[in-house]
Amino acid sequence: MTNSNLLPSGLPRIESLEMRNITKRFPGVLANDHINFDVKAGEIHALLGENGAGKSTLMKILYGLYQPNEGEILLNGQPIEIQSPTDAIRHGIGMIHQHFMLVETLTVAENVALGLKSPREPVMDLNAVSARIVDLADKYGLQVDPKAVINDLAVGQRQRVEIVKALYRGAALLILDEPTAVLTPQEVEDLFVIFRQMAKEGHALIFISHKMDEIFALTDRVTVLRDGKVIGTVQTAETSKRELARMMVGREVIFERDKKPLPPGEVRLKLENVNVRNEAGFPILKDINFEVRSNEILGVAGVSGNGQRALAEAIAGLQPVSSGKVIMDGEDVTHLPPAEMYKIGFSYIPEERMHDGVIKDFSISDNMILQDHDRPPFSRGIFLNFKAIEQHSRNLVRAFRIKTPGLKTPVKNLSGGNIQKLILARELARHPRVLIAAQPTRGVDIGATEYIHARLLEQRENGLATLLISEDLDEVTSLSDRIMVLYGGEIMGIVDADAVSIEDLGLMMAGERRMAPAG
Amino acid sequence: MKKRYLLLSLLLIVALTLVACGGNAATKAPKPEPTKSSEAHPTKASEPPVASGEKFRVAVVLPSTITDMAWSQALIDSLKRIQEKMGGEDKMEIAYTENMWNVTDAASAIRDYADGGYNLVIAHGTQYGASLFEIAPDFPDTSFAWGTATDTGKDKGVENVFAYEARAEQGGFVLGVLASALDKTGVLGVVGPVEAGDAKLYIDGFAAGAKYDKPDVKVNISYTGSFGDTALAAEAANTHISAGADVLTGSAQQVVGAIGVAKEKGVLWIGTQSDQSSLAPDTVVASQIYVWDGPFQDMINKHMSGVMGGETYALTLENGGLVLKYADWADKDAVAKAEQVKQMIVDGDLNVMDVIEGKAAPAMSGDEVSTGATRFEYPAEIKPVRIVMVLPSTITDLSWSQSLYDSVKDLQDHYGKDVIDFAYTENMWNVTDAAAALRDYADSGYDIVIAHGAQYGDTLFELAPDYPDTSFAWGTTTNFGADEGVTNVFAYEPRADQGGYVLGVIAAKLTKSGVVGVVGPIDAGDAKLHVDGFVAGVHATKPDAKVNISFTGNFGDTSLAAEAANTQISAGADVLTGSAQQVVGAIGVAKDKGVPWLGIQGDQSSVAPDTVVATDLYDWRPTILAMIQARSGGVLGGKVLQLTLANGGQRMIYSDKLPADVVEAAKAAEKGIIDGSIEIKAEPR
Amino acid sequence: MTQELTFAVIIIGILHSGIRLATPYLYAGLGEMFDQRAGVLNLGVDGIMLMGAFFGFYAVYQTGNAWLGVAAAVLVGIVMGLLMAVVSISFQAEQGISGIGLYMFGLGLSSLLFKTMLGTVEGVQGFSELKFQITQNFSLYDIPIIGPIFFNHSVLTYGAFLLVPISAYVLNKTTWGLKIKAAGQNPEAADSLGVNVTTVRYMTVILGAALAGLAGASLSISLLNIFQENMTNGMGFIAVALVYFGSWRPYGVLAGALLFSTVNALQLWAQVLNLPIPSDVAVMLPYLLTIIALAMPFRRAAQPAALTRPFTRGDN
Repeated sequence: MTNSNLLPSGLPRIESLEMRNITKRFPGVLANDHINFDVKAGEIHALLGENGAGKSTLMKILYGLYQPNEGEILLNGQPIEIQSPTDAIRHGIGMIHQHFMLVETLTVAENVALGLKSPREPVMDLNAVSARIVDLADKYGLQVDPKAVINDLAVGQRQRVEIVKALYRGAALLILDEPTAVLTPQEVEDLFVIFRQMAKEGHALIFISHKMDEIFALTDRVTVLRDGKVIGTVQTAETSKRELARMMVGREVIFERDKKPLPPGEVRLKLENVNVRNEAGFPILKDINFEVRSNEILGVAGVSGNGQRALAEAIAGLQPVSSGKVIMDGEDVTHLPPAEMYKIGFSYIPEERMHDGVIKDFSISDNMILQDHDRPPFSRGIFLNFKAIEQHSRNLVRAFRIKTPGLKTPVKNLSGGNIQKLILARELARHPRVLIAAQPTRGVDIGATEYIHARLLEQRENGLATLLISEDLDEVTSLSDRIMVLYGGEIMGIVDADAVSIEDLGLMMAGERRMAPAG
Repeated sequence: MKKRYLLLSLLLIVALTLVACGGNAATKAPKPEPTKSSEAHPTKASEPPVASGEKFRVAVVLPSTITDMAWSQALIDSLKRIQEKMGGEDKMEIAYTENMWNVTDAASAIRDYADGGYNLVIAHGTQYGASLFEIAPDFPDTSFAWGTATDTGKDKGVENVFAYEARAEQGGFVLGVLASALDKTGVLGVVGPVEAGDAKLYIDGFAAGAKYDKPDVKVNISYTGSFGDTALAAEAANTHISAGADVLTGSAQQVVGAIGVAKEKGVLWIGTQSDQSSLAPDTVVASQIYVWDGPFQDMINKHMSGVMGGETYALTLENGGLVLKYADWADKDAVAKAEQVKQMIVDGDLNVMDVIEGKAAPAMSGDEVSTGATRFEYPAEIKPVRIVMVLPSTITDLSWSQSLYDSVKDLQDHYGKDVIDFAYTENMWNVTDAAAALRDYADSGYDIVIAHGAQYGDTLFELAPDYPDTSFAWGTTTNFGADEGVTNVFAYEPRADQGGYVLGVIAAKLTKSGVVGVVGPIDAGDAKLHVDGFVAGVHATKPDAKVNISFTGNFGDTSLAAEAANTQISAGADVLTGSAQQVVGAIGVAKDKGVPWLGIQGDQSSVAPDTVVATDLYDWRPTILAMIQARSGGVLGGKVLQLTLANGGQRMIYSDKLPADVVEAAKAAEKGIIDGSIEIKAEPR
Repeated sequence: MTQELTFAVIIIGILHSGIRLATPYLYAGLGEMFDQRAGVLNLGVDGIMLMGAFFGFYAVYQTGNAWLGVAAAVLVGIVMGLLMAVVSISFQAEQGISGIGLYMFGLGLSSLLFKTMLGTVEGVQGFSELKFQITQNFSLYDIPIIGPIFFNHSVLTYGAFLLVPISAYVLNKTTWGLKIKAAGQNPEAADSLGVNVTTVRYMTVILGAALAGLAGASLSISLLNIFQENMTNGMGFIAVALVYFGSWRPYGVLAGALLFSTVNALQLWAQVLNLPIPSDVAVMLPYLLTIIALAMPFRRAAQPAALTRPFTRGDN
């Protein structure tokens, strides 16, 4: 640490920031229940918790987006009022959002200048802004070109622009809301170097993440929230993944999956030289060749937007295949419409579950029979057999432990995890031979994730051929037999899950091609 | 079974109660008279009813007092005369409520009277209409009447409402003549209440009459915005006198204030609605008095014969509903002049509405060069007809749509709303919308459905066979659907080449540069005929003149038409013509650049009176009448009706800005076209 | 006998017409460009133009003062803009629908007002054409060719062209322009940096509507000096198309407006000169060009990402 009281950006440090007894009520929900939380200059403090634990609410209060019902915020021991993001920025608090808050068509300098008063108001002075950006970039080791347009920048560079933006506004304290969600492992490591450097210079950092590895790699202290309450604050060096997980969910979480070694069965799904173009005619999948066998989970890894969605939709018949063949159980199903695909034993758990997976305003039982409503036992002639539907729904709700007030509840009132369970329940109940599960646990809490994973492995033992598309590398590596990496619509390689390191996967996700293993 | 008896007995009790409440009158009133007797009397209205015995009960809701010397008093005076004729208070009862300026109060009064078993309930004000139509259906055995209005609520399914109006513009016109004859300062003053209803009609007529007598007389009009604000009316009169007026008039009960001022300042007053001479015998030189006897006597007769409503009445000079009373000291020459004009109106030689709307020549014109064109005459009697028009643009477009609308409106003004009832839809440039509108209208039972545009043809031929009793008409075209086997479609075609030819002659005479310009919409329909005739007319008169033609591709793009006119002028044109509603833009340019404009379709002189030097006006009246008369003869379609110079379908209007020799040449061309000595040949373009 | 049509006369005629005709498109198009850059699609331009045209005309008709006409048109534009803003920004109504509603409202109300307050088409003395008299015997208009093309327009026409660089400057060089662009591209990002997206959108919609009102006035008190029902004849919709055509840039809108109006002028001359082109084809030309330009895929790329998307804080 430097002995000066100033940060490299020339602004005073925030020696301490304390949130005391913060309580925030929403209608029917107590989002934050007397929370105490503090962070000091030079410290990286992790905030950990399941979805809905109250992390975002707490940070939105700190950034002025919400007002607390009770409690106070102390800056260097003095109570302060934060009514809006403008107040927060004035007090030296910056926030890096999970989704980039950048205007893609503007330059770096313009993004930085947005919302700030210009010395020559109303005329902008972009030269002065650029000069200061270069200055900051030098001091913090953040290479950015002030004249570059955001659209031309890679994801990692955009993240750096976000940081520059916060520093430019005099942020002494930075809230980092899942900053690594869309980065490759290499980019994450680069970013961590910057964070550590910032902390060393005297910034205070609050780091929100789900990822245990990152918390252990980066942070000094961890505060765990559950159900709006602080469960505890511990020194990172003195705790373990297991302990944190227990604090988060209130019980032990099994991290290593009990994946039985099974001999791969017969080929269920096979793609031969499949090419797909988007509406504008650009190729989004190029010469895709792979097969998935019975008793096998093929994981698909890659940074999102590299063709995963197109792959799933091309197989499901939702996206036209421009050339090549999709073969299921030896039959060419390339141009089969989705309804036909469902009839021959194919199931699909889509990525955008609220959009593609369910009809939000329909009840649970209606959603349970979406594909099969016109077939016995759910219909008799042109009429629905409500008794059979109800029976079926009740069984599934019970079997998959879907938490709901009733079968008639509209799906939009369920939590994300329960919706995902509903979709999984529906699809597995159809006893498919081939399943595509796209991001099956995204946004789902740890308990539900665990449950879903167990079900996928159980189906694998029952002979299902599964294509698992996920951005969660832990998930892909722990469930899959083999892993395929997509980059720019091409297969970078297909590797055995047991034989590959996270580093290798990261390189492939960044576009480095590997040979596919034989077979 | 038991239930049914219960119901029957319940009904019986209710019926008995009703009869009991209605008393003597109710027992007989609902019984309709035999048909023959009901047909026998309505023509002669002033005769007392045949039915006798029980008392006829009339109730009136009045907006002011029965001594207002205006609107309300005129009615009560008439009802009292009817009462006398019917045999006094024993035979006819008159109940009334005064000062019902609050419409909600009036509504409850109307309902109370109807409840109280009155036979005829009169709501004496336009403002009561909405309430009346709500109340009337609840009392099917009561007759209601309201005015000034022409709507009896037939299309709302109401059958027991009469409507009445006073064609106050007629007397107003005569009194305007009188006022201007009496006037010495050249200024007249009018104190009006609000610009609506019979007040507006009266004042419009008065102003037109004054100008008819002396075109340069100044008529100052002030509306007070109220019926009863006497003080304000007095102030208005003061103002008029300060401004030099020496004859005043005005309407509504407020005028008593004004009459006082007139008396004090020694200027003359002319009254309307009621006889106001009692107030200031030496000041009130003349009055128009509303005599409601005829209409209300007829309503009473109708009611007794079982007809509860549905009739519309109008007070006119001709039917004696409007009576003019002159003071015996009034200037004899002026009165004689006024009486002469009154006779013209009664004889039908002068249509006041036409004068007001500027369609008829305001003063007697000089000697006309006869061109052989048919002068338009209204047939004495035509069958009542319901007409509807689907128009591609608006009724104020100064061209295609307005010309049709104006013609139909004129016929309605002449024959009355009970003979010619019409509706229209504007801006139907979307053919699909038009198709829907056409079908709706055909469905609602219109007799003649006019689709005023060539683009509507396909739709019409699909529609027409579904409504065999309805006549359809469309144009510009000559196709009445013979090939499609349709028999109830008229085709109409303005032979714009004829008028266009005459305009061409004028253009050739006027041009100095030798270049004349045309701003057309699209090269089709009557626009094409206009251009064909125009070119022929120009070249027949001046073979080496050049006619530049630009089509904008559009009927309504005013700015593009303006630009086209600019272009024409840049290219040397010094006389312009053009068609469709877009041309107002071009006329503006012509005005700016000082280039004369030759109009067609509608009269566009209001845009630029000095620029529009001649107009080929489409007069659709003969065409419409031809359809009506064909229908009377059982012919529903299958004819081409042309608007020509000969049949009066096109009328040439020449501005006084036009040199005499040019008018002469134009009239010679008219004559030549009509007698066939000029044959118009379209040149290839 | 007939006047010789020299090449110069034709060129002058076409260019002069092109410049004049571009006036309403420029006002309306630049106004709409601001709206859309801030993320609001206002399809009611034509209705606002009609209201502006009517009130501008009526003010001049009553007072004889053309500048009062401009003030009236701008004022009624502001009122209409406020209406659009309340409905589409505060109440977050579907922008396409509320714009069409506004159009119908403007069309209907201006017709009604015309019928009740004027009744018939009449003329007024609006803005006349400036000739730039420098000395007693010399005006800029006297410069051969250049003069009659460029120095023979009304002040509203010059205003429209002057508005192009002003718009470009505001959009690209001022903090306000930056806020507008951010509000239309990524309102959440703008909000997170303390930009009040709602205020920015209100201001731009009102500005756009004021300019649309001015566009209407440029018709009724400068180009034509009359008012007629529905006199814009869909110009407002062409103006919206020109914004797409111009890729949401002021100079793009200028290019579009000039192209559209010059081709229009060209086709008028083509008819006068009896060129062997059917008039139907000639009148189609400007629209055809617009459609071709709109179909170009690269133009769509420049579309503000948040166009037609309402903004609520915390919606992401």
